Amino acid sequence: MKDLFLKSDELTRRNVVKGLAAGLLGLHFTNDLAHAKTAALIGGGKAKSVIFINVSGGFSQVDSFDIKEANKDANKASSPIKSSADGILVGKYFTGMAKHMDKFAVINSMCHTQGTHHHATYLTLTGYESRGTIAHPELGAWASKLGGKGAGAIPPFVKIGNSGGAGRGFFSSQFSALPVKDPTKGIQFVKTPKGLSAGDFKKRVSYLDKINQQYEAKMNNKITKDYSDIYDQALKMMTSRDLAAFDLNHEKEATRERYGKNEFGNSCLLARRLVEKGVRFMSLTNGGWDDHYGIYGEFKDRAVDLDQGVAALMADLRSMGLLDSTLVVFTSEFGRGAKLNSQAGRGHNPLGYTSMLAGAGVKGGQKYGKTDKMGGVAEEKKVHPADLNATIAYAMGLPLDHIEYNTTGRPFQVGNKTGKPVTALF
Amino acid sequence: MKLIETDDGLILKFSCQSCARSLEILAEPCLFECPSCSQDYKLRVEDGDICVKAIDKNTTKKSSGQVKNNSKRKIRTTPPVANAGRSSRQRRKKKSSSTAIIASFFVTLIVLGAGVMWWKSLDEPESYSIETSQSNNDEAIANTAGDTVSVESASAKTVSAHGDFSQVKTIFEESCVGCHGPKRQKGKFRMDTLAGVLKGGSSGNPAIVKGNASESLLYKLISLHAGDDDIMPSDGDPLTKNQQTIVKNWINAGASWEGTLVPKEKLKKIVIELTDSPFANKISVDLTKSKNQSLASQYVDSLIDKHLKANGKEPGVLVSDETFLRRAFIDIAGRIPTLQEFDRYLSSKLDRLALVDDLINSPGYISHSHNYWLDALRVKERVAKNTLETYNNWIQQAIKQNMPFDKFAYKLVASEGAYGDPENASVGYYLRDDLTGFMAEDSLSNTMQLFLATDMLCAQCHDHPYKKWTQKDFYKLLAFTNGTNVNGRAHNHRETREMVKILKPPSTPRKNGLIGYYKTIQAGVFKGGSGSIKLPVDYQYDDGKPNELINAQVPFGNPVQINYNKTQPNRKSKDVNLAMKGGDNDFRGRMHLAKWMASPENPMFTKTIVNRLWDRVFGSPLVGKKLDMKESDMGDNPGLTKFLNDVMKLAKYDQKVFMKILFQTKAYQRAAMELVEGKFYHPAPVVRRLTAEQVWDSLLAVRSKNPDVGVGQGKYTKYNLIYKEMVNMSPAERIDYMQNRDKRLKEAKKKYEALPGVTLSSKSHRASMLRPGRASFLNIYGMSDRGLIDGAIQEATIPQALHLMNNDLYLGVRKQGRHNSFLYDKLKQKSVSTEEKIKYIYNAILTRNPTDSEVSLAKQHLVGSKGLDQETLAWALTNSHEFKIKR
Repeated sequence: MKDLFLKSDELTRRNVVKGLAAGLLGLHFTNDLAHAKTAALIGGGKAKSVIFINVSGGFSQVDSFDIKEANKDANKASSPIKSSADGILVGKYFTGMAKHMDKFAVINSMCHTQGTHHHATYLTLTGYESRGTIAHPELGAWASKLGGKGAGAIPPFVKIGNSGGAGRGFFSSQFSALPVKDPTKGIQFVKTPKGLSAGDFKKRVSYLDKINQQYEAKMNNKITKDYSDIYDQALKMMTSRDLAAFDLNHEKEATRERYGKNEFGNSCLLARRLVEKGVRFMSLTNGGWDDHYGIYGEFKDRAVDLDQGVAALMADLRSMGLLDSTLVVFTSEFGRGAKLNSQAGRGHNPLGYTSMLAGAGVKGGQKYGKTDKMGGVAEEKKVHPADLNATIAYAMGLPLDHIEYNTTGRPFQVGNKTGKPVTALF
Repeated sequence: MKLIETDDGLILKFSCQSCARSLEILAEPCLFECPSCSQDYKLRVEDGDICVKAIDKNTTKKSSGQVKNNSKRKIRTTPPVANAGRSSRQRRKKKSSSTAIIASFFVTLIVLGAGVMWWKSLDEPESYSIETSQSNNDEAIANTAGDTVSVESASAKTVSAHGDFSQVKTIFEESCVGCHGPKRQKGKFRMDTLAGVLKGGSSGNPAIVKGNASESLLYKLISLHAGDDDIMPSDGDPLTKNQQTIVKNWINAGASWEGTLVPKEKLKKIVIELTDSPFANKISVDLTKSKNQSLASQYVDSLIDKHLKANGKEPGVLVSDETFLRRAFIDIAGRIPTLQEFDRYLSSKLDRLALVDDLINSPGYISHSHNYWLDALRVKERVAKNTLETYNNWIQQAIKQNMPFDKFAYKLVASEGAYGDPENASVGYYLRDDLTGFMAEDSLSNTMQLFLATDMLCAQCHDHPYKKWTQKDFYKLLAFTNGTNVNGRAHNHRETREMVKILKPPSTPRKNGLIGYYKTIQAGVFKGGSGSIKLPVDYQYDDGKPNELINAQVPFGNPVQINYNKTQPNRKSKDVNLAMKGGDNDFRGRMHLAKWMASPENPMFTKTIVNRLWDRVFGSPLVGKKLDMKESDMGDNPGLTKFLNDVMKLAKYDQKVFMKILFQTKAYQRAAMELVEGKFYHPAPVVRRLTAEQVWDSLLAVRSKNPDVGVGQGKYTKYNLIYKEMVNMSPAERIDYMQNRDKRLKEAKKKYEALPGVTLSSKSHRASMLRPGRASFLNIYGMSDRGLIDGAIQEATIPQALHLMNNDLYLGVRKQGRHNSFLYDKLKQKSVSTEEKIKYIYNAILTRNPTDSEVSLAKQHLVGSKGLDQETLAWALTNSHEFKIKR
C-alpha cells in the first residue's frame, strides 16, 4: 500500500522525520544511561582502550586457533600444541601467544558471506556490508564520535602502519584516524624541517600569524576560522609532551627486540605506548595471509612476527596492569578453506573462521562457538562481524542503540542494527 | 510590441518573429498562428504579465499528460488579420472555446490591475505538461481535420494537396529518405522521387496508391502500432499521429509531388521559452561562435540581476585583474598561474575573455576536469579483478576531445564489450562496480543520481518514504541492466581450455598466472541487459508478488518503447512476454536506458548537467542538490535555470562552450561570497577552499616551470596494446605472447608510437595522473577516496597543517638542481632589490602584488644581516589562509 501521507509533501514529511529524529535523540540519553548501567552489570564497558589487530589477507583458522583432528593436512603440518588454557590447542607456530591463551576468548564460529578481501575487510571494520552509495564509519570513528576523548594532543583514533579500512565514513573529518604511516617515525611531519631551529620556526609562525590576521581583517569566514583552529591545534601537537609516546627510542633495546624490530612488532609496541597515554582506539595490521598457493611455505615465517608482537604486547599489558582496561581484538576478514586446493594452498572462506578477544572483562581461556568437523563451516553459536563490532562497542561502553543519521537521513548504529553483543564472553 | 486599449478590450500589437508581418490580437490566453507563415504562438498571462511565446510545430510529445483546461485552444484573432484562407486556421476557428469570453474578461482585469507589463520573463514550471497537453490537442484536431478534409469540396483539394506536400516533404526528408534515398536504399526502396515511391521496394508493389491511403503500403507501415516489428521508420521515434494524418491526407488528395527530396537531419527541437532572450524562437544557434556566447552570458547576467533586484539585493563589485587571473586559473586549469604566466597576463590590461579561452583549451583544463569526473564517477585505481587504468585513460581522452556530455553519458551507461579494446574502455563504468551482491542496485542508483539527480536509493529495498518512487519503480528500472555480464570474457571458454591443454598439466602458479592474465586482458562487460527481472523474494506490496517477473520501464519522462519481439524468429507472433520467459540477451537494456537518459527529451538530464556545471563554476548548485532534484524543481531563479537548459541543448552538450558562457558572465567576475543559510541569489562565486588536487597542483605551479607537462598524453594503456596485439592470435600464439610479454610489449610500443598522434607514456606530476597512497598529501587534503559520488571534502584537519608547515619540499624558493622554478631564477638575478624579491614571492604564491603595508611588514620582520629571509616569506604565504582559499 502506498501511504499518501508519505508522498504528499516532501518538506513537511522531512520536517516530521527531523522532529522524530530529535525526539529519538532526546529519548536516547535515558537509554544511554540505562545501557551503560546494564553494560557495567554484566561486565561490559571496561575497555578504556582498544587495540584492534587486523590479520589481513584471510588468516587460516585451521592452522592456528581452530585445528581439527579430522583435518589431517592441517594437523600434520601445523601440529597443535598445548596452551596456557585448558582445552585450547594452537598451531605450533604460536608458542608466544600460547602462553596468553588463558586471557583470550576464542570465537571459532565467526562467519559471513563476503568472499572478497575488500568487501570482507569493510564488513569486519564497520559491521556493515560495503555499498556503492554510503560510506560507513569504522569502529574507531564510532569510538571517537560517541564520546571518545583524545589523550592530550593525540586524537582518540590512531591508525598504525599501512592499515586499510573505511575510515571516518560519513562522519566529519574530525573523527577520522590520525595516520601513523611508519611506527618508528611517529606522526608524519610533526617535527620541524631539518636544519630549522626552534627559533626560526617560531619566527615563521609569528609571521604567518601576522599575515593571516591581515587577511582575516578583510575576509573572515568559516574556512579561515577552521584553519586558524587547526593550525593552533597542530602547533600544540608539535610541541606536546604527549608526542613522546610516538618515540619508540624511549624503549629499552631489549623491549624492542622482544616485540620484534619489524613493522608489526613496532606497531604493537607503539600501540602499547599509546594505551599508556590513554588513547581510545588503535588499529594495526599484520598482512599477507592470502595463502592460495603453498600455504606451508611462508605461513610459518609470517607467523613468527605475528606471534612475537602479540605475545609481547599481551605480556606487557598484563604486567603493567593495563589488560583490565584494554581490549585486544585479533581478527581476520575471513578464514581459509578447510581443504587444501590443488596448489597446496587454501581458498577464501568466510563461512567459518576465528576471532579472539582479550582483556577488559573478557573471560579468557574459553572457546565460543564451533565449526564443523574439518573446521571450515561455523555450526554452533555463529558470530557475524556485526556482532563482533557490537561486542567491541559493548566492551567500550558505547551506546549500541544510538542512531546517527547521514546527510540523506538514513539511520546507522555502531555494530549495525543487526549486531548483538556476545555478552557470554564477559 | 504594444498593448492598446480598445473598445474590444486590450489588443496586443507586434510583428511576427519569423516573417515580420505585423499582427494584432486580443490580449487573452490563446494559441494562434501567423496567417502568413503559419508560425504558432502561445499567449499567456501570468501574474499580470502578458507573455507571447513562439511554438515550434514539431515539438509534439507522445506522452499522455492530462489536458489542462486553461491551455485549450481558443483562437480569437482580431479583424485586421486578414487573408486567412488556410484550411488549418479555419479548422482551428471551429474549435474556439466558449469559455474564452469569461477567460478574457478575467484576464483583462488582471492585466489592467497590474498595469501594462511588457514581455517579461516567464517562469514556466509546468511547461512540460502544457506542451504535452497541446500535442494532444494537435492530434485531436488533426484527426477531426482529416475527416473533414476527406469529405470537403473538391475546390479546396488542389490547394490543400499542394500545401500539404511541403509538410509531407519535411516528414519524408527527416524520417524516411535517410534510409530510402540517395545514400542508402533499404529494402531496395527509394523515396526521394515520386517515381521511386510509385515503383516500390522489394515487396514489388507500389508504396502508395494515389487517392487511397488505406490501400497504400507506405501508410500502413507508418501507422502500425508503436513497437510493431514492421513499423516505419524502423529507427527512431514513430511518426506522430499528426504526421501520419498529414501523409494520409496527402495520399488521399492525390499525392502531388515536386522535385527531388534530400535527406535531412532532424533538428533537435528546442523552444526557447523566454521571449526576450537573445535566442528566442531559434531552433538552432551556433554557440561555438563567441558572439553568441557573449550574448548568452549577458542574458544570464540580466536574469541574475533582475532576480537580485526583485529581492532587494545589489550585485557586488567586480574583482581586480589579479584576483580574476588567480580565480580563472584555479577554476579552469586547476592550479594557480606560474610566475611566468602571471607576468605574461598582467603585463598589460588583462583580456579576461582571452584568458578564459586560453585556459579552457590548455592541458590544465584536461587535468582539472579529469579530477572532477574521476570524483563524480568514483574511479578507483583498482577494483577487485581489474585495474581501472584503461577506463581512467578513456575518461581523460574523452575530456581531451571535449566529447559532448550526452555522448559521454551514453557511452558509459550503454557500454559493452572487451575492456582492453580502447573503443570500449568505457565499460570500466560497470567494471568499477562489479555488479555483484548489491552493487547492481547501487550502481543503478548512482547512475540515476549522477546523470538525472534522481535519488531512488530507498526504493531499492522499500517504497521511498518521502518521495514518490516505489520499490516496483526501481525494479522496473533495474530490469534494464539486469543480466549484464560484468567481468565476462571476450573470448569463449573453449579457447581458454585449449590454452590450458597446450600448457599441459600439472598446473603451476606460473601457468595459472598466465591463464589469469589472459582472462584479465579479455575481461569486459557483455550481454546487454535482459529487460526483465524478478521482484525480490520479500516483496511486500500489493502491486506485485514476490519473485514475480516484471518487464523494464522507466519511472518518468517518455516511456521507452520496448519491442520484446525483435529477436523472435516468428516475427508475426505477438508474444510480448518473451522477456518474461527468462529474459532476452539481445534486448540491450543498457542501450535503451542510456538512450532514454542521455536525451534532451529527458526532463532531468539537461537540468542535471547544467546544475553540476553551474556548481563547478560558481560553487553552489543552482537547483536543489547536485544529486537530488525534483522534476518540478527549477531553483530560486527558474528563468535562469530554463535558459541555461536551453543553452545546454543549443550547445549540443558541449561542456567547454557551456562553461565558457558562465566564465564570462559578470556574476563570475564578482567578489566571492560566503554561502550562508537561507536564500542565495547566485550573484557571485562562493568562497571555497581549494580542492586537494588544486592545492597540490598550485604548489606544483610554484615549484615547476611547466606544471602541465605530460597531461593528456597516453592514448593507449599497456592493456590496450596487449589486447590489440592478442585479439587475432591463436591460443598457442597467445601463450607465446604472454610468456614473452615484456619483450613483445616493447615491440608493440614502438609500433604504435610510430603512428601519428599516438603517445603512450605520460610523465605528469599533476594530481590527476598520480596514484596517491594512504596518508599521502592528496589523501590528507581530502581527495575523494572514490567510494561515493562527489566524495571530495575540503574540511580542515591537523595533518594538513603539519604537511604544509613541516615539509619544505613545497617551497619553490630553493635551488632544485636542473629544474629550478621561475621564482628561484628571478630571485637569483643580479641587482634585485628586497622590494622586488618580496613582490616576486607574492606574485608566485598568491598571484598578486603585495600591498605597501605587506612590503613594509616583510622588511620590518624578515630582513636581517643576510638580506631577505625568502624562505620564511614563502613558507608563510604557502601556509596562509589566502593560499588555500579561492576568493
